Amino acid sequence: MRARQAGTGGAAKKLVIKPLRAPSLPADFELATWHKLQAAVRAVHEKRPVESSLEELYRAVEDLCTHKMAAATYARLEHECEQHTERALRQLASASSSDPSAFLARVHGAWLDHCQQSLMIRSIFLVLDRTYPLQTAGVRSLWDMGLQHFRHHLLALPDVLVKTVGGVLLHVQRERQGEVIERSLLANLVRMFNALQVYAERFEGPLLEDTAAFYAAEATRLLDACAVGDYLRHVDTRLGDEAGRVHAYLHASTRKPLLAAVHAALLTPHAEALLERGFDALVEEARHADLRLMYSLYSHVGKLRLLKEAWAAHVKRVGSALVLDVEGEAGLIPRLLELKRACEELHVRAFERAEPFGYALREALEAVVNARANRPAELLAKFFDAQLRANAKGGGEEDVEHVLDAGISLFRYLSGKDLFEAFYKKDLAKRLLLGRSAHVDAEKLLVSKLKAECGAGFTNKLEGMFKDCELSAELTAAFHAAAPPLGLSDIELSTHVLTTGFWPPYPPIELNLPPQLCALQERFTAFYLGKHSGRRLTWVHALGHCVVRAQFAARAHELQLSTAQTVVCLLFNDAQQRALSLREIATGCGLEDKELRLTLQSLACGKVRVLVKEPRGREVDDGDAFSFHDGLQHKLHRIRVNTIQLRETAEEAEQTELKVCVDRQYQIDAAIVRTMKARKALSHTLLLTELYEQLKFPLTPVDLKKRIESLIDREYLERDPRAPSSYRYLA
Amino acid sequence: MKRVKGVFARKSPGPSTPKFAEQLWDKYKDPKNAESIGPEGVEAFCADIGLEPSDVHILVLAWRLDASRMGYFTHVEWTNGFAKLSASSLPELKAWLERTYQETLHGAKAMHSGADAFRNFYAFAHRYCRDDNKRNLDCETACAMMSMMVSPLYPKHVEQFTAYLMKMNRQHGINQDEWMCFWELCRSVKDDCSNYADDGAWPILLDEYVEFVQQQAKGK
Repeated sequence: MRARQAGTGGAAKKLVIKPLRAPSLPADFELATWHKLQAAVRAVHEKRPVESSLEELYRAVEDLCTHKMAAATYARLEHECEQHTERALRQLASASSSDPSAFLARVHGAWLDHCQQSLMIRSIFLVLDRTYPLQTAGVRSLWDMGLQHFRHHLLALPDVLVKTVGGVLLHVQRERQGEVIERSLLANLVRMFNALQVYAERFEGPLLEDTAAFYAAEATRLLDACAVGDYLRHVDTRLGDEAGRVHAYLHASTRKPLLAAVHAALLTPHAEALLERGFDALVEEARHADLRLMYSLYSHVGKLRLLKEAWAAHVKRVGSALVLDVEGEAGLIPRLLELKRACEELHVRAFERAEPFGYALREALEAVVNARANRPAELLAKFFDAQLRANAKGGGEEDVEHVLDAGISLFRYLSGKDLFEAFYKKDLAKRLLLGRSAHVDAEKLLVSKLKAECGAGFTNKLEGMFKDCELSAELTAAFHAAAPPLGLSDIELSTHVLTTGFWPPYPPIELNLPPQLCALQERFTAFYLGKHSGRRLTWVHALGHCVVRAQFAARAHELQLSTAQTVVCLLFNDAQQRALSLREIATGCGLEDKELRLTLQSLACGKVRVLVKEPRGREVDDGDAFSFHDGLQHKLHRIRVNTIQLRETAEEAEQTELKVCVDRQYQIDAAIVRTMKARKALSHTLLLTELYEQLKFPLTPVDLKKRIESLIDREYLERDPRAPSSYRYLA
Repeated sequence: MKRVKGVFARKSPGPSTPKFAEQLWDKYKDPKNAESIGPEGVEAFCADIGLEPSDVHILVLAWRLDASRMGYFTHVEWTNGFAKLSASSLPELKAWLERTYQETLHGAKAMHSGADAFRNFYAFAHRYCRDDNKRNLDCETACAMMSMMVSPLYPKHVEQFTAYLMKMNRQHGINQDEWMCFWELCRSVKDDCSNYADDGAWPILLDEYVEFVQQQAKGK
């Protein structure tokens, strides 16, 4: 209010300020306003156009709120809405419709109506909705209030809810059976369940039960009907379908339990049966995709252990069959390598390189390699020998290294490494001494690999052998440089000086060297001892070989002979074309009888016949006579006469094996005594545990018991009289 | 050994006189070798005391005298041994031997240290019966000794074990350890070997014996 200044001539007016008077409301204001609103609400509910303008209604609500009539208005509105909801739902219940789809559509319609109407009402009562529930505790917003009543009345009519849920489940079932359904309808109904908070308790449970029952039935139906691979793929498809279903119309929280139900019905109870029925075939046919699927499915149901065991068992079975196949043992190592390669590929491609699977594979391969005692070690040594031999077919250096690496990977699993060493050493000696090694580099590479696997102690002797060869080459050169010509210059001597202990033992051969060779040998001995005094040289004739020039009727040849063969042949120089009897030859060369017969057989009965035997035949008999075969014809200038190597046979292998076994006994004895000396007293079980830790070759408890008993007998140990299964060390 | 002797020494009425020992020694000593009683002497002694040479009581005597060689007693063994036993005549000696044997046998059934005497006696038998310079007792003697010593206590085990050895036709005899373990087995394992605890420490011979018994039981 503003005081106005009077005109210049007028009398001054008094300024009066009156108190503000609130306009009085008409007495029926509240009721009249409500009636107007009620009419509008009913119009909305009955889907009629609202008579008053929305603006007017909005203002009316605002007025009511301004005049503190919010509570009463809310109560009236609530009553109005509740009645309508109840009516609407009753209508649903009474409408008997046999077709579930139609029923669902009606439910859906009712729900949509409810939502639309609630929204409309809320818009009208916006001021009320924005003020009253916010300021008053325990009063819900209009939307929630509507939902609350809908839920309440729906629950009061169990038929409707059950029918609705049943209808939805029926649709789901139909979809699973391959029908096309109206997904949006289901999506809306599920949204309704969710909004009404009945999803978890009224819908999800039955859904999961249904799912379990459906898939359990499917599992029994399909399990016998289709192959394992197909079944797994089917399971995978089903899982994909269900995930899609969740995405399309179910609530996200259902995803986990739903997939779990599928797993539990289709996979968990059949995991073992599936493995039993089809795993071997899958592996044998190398169906990596199927196996990968299997791996991922089994990992979801926590059955990887079963899969792992099945795989290990498969590898063991297949591998052991290979190892135990005595007939085909020649090709064992390549076959084992192939098996290992296949397994590793499977491990990478199907089993995601999982660590436990890797362990299982290693364990299985170890069991396979050791499924048969001793023989695999020998075969592996032979395998390396074949690779390193000069006449081995093979590609470049990289290939050789690749193959050696593969062999080493098997060697790693071998428990009888000492046996391997014995056989390997024998072959290596042969390669080195007879010059049959393909590449020294490859030889050294392998030794370095063995060293990396087993430590320097293991390869000490092997390295010593290489060293001997190198020193011998130098020595031979030095000998030639120092040798004064003694009329023997036409004989060229090459020697290998072998350190005892590094090399395999060779049986000594008795023979009478011809004087020329004797002189040469003596000179070398003198030369060697002059360089290294105090050493002892023993000549190993079993390994010696000579190149001898021989004049046959047709042409001259060079013959490559063993020392024994040479000695025999040289006898015929003095014989003057005469035939020599077996006895004469025996006294001439001084060879032991069995050895002599073998030598003569190689000279007279082999492919290249330097001697002629009379009478002819494959065996050498006492009365036979031999003469020089003057008419020998051969296209090569230098001829190799093969020796007959009886010793390179089962007998020899057996001896090597026997030697290793005896060595092992000493090792066991030493380990027992060492342990008992340290511990003084120990129970049988503990002693065995200690021994298994210390001893690195395959052992059975009986092997150990035998040694323990032997030590008791020899009074290194005694049984503890107070505790019969304990031993005491006897100092 | 010492402890056991002590037990019996207390029970005996009094040590035998050295004179009695000397009398016997003079009577039975080997005329060709003054230092020992030989097989003939032992045979004569057995005849005089009224026992078979293979009687268990003679073994008891050998044990008590700590004889080192079957069929022989040295002078030292004879005099030292007689000093510890109580007898001054042959009938008294026989009675003493019978009593000692009964007491040993009786003790053997006890599970506590009372069995030590029999254990000693049993261990002695292996030492006493095996051939000179051999570690093993040949199977035939072993079976005979077992049936004499162990049969009164564990007849079934002895019978089965003998059968087993016959079947195996074992060549290299029984060593001391196996011999002693058999005794332990008799004491702790039932006749049918059903409670044989294969804790691994039994000698292989006994493992195999048990397997044999169990196989036979199965066969029936």
